[in-house]
Amino acid sequence: MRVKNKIISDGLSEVLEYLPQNVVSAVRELNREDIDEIRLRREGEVSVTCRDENVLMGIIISGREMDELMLKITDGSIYSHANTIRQGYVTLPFGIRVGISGRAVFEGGELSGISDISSLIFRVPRAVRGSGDYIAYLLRRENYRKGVLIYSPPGVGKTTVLRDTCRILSEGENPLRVVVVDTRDEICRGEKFGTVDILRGFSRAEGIEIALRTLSPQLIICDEIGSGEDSNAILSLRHSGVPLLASAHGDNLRELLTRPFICELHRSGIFSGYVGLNRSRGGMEYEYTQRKEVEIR
Amino acid sequence: MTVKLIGALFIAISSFALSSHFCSCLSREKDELGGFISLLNHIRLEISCFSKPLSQIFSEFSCPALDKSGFTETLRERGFSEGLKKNACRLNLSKEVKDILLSFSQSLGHGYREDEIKRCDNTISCLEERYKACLDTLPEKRKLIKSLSITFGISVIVILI
Repeated sequence: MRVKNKIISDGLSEVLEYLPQNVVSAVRELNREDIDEIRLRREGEVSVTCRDENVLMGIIISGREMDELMLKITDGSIYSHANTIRQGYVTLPFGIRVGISGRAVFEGGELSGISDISSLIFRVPRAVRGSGDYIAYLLRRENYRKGVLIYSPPGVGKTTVLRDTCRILSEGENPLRVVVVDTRDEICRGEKFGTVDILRGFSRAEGIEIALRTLSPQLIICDEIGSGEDSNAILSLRHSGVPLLASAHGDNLRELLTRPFICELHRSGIFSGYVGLNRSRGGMEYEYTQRKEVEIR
Repeated sequence: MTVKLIGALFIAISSFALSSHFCSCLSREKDELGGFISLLNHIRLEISCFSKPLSQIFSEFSCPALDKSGFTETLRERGFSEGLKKNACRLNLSKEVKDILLSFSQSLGHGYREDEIKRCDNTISCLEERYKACLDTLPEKRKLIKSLSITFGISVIVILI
């Protein structure tokens, strides 16, 4: 199924507020509407990702500029973002995610932080009106008894689709009580939707547990599941009657179901089906596969 | 004779005002030092318990001694370093204390939680030592200033008359 969606807001101007002036000018001169990422490298060239194309900008970022940028994105308080830096990112207002690469620092055998920051990758967030219509339809069709798992490679728009689905289901005539476990603070980006309760910064396992225990949700949304740590919490939803709308990285369904954790979720029947996302010109393509159509040997 | 008496009275009042001014400077130094110790304790607490960003930590801090010098206002708007630099001449602190605070402020926020807490602890203990010394010497310094002012005033009056 192919749906044409309209981009209603693009976070590029918000991203540019953080960048050095020469980078801002170069990006503006580039004049492209499909910028997904801006990549800055210490003593290396700045590049811009437009869909699958990487454009070199011919600008070198000095070590000092990189350090200043790091302080700017952490509001001059690196320690206050230590948890997410450890996981390789910082989330800025408007749901801008900045990926961080550098040298791992270990303390007592455990990763305690990242030093010598070598790259900062600013991902441009988007709100796409209508991108969640199809997912909302699938959930409604199941009478909100079973969830849906969205998969795609990184950068295609899983979070954008989750955000729009969240908006659709929590507004209108019969809004649902939606709980968003926003581990990376990206789904709701500080926006307020009708009947949404947001658990910001919680791990998926903790968030789901708290949501079930105290927030009596009719739908739980979380992004990028895929680790075994989440499995017990997600499996606990099986008997709770609360559907889960989640996303996971994956090129295709076959590859996705080779992962033991996803395979376990498939067997448990948490999801009624799987939706693969693909970007096409002017819209998003959805490839829906019902759970019962999938056979696992 | 009347002119001489008026002159003597003027000198006496001036000496008294001068000694009061110096004494109040000493008190302000002590109060400001105490204010900075409270600020550092506040920063340490907010970092260790809540990991709040500095802008939020600064916005929640208030201290009359530092408010008077305009430091708190600049702190909230432009940060610790800028607050010190902009109000350097209005703060009654020794150069040594200003240097300690400046070096602390320049690296504040650049490290992880444990480093920040350690840095806060070190600076707090440095400032507390100076605060204690300041408290100990304050009565003696006040006495000295008062005696010098009185001696100066009396000498000038005697010379005049």
